[in-house]
Amino acid sequence: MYKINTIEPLWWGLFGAGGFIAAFLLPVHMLVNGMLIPLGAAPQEAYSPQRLAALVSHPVVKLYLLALVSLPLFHWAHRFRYLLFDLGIHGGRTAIAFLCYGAAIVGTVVAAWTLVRV
Amino acid sequence: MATSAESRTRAYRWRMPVAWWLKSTHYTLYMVRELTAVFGALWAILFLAQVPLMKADYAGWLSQMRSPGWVLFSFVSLLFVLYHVWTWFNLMGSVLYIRLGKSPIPGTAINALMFAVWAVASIVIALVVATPILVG
Amino acid sequence: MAERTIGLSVTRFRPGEDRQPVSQTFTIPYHDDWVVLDALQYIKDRHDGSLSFRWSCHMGVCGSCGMMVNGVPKLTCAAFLRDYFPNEVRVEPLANFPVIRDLVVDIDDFMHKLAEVKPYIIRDDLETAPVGFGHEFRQAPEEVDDYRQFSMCINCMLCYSACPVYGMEPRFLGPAAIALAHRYNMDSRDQGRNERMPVIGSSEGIWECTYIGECSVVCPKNVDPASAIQRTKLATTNDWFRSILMPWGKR
Repeated sequence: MYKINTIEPLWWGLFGAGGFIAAFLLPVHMLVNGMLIPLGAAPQEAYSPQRLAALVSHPVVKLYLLALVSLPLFHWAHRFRYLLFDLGIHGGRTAIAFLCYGAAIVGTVVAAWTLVRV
Repeated sequence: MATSAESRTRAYRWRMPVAWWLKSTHYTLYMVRELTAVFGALWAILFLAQVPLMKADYAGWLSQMRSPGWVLFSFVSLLFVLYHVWTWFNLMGSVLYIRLGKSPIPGTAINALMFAVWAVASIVIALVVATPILVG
Repeated sequence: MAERTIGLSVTRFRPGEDRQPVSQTFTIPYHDDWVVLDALQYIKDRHDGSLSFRWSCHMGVCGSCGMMVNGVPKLTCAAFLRDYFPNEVRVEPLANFPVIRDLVVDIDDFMHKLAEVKPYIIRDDLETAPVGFGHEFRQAPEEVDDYRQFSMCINCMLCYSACPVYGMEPRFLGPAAIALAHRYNMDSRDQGRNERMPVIGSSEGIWECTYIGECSVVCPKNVDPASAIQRTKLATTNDWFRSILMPWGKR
């Protein structure tokens, strides 16, 4: 076995997982939770207080929501890090990577804490 | 032609223009593709912020999610994320190399499979979230 | 009937004399079966013998006549004038490389990177394996399929010229070198993967690539270097997670 002297595989793995989550899950939630329900196009019993409270209290739903938020954050962090480079910011690459992935980690912790308290 | 040290020091050093990504449509679309991640992440965070309200402050949640700003932002984000879906799945055939027995699965078949799974998953999620049909 | 002509605007650069390249326009007879390389040779014969450019086979095999044609990296032996006529054709040296003279670029950087990834079959048993008739390393057709497209690379460097990442970060190992490393890593006869991975898995290797994909678009041999890079990222990531989660595992 060879040695990999970089942590990039971790970030790339999270980026890839986030890319799949963002592709598979985000569009339908944007459509349903961002447009259909707000515009009254969904049956009201779908978002009754009782049903919603039961849904967001369920541990499986909480885990699902954590993945839905956290992994796209890592997906964003990775792409944004290179986007800044592409835009001509060639200095401070380590600091930029630290800030981007750091923001995703903080976002994940805040998301987990928020969901635990629901 | 010999590339001696002398000729290298006298060579003209080419520099990448800062606005390189405006030089070709491919490059510009690549930048748009990378930008889609901003909308995905921002939307996810704003959606998460609504989750505690769904249980604790139902009326507050109703008025928040019915605001035109949220609907408009969701619509714009949806357009960007759909572009992410299109580019992401269309690249999968080049990234995944799976040999079934003797022949590799064609890239186009992998791409098509991704879109098919995506469509089914989206319908199931829509039925769960927007209707009480699957989960009462 | 008057002879039809076409204009060629060609980059000129004399080292030590010019501070930066300038373009010079030549008007030459138009033939619809001529490629850009034919036009350059006509200019060198009839207009200016000092015009410098690389070429060798004139048939898309040697990979030495790559230049920017109207801003796109192309083999000039395969770029027909008829695809541009009646407009002027702009011929420039390959982007992202230092210009030595006129249309000739410095390819040392690529040559070093190519050598670094050891693009040849490595075996532990070459010294001890019986050689000669009947002792070849056999390979099934489906094993050839695993790497065949990546073996078509002719080292023409059009992909480096199309790659903005290489343009901004010259330390990036680049498309062709990684594609060729992948070609040997995927070869069932090869045992050198562990020697190549530290180079291509380093931060200047595959991780600089953001899958812009233009390398695969411009490749004259239909190699897909972008795919080789992502497949290598995927394999490296699998190896990395496996080594973290199962440190006792052998491989």
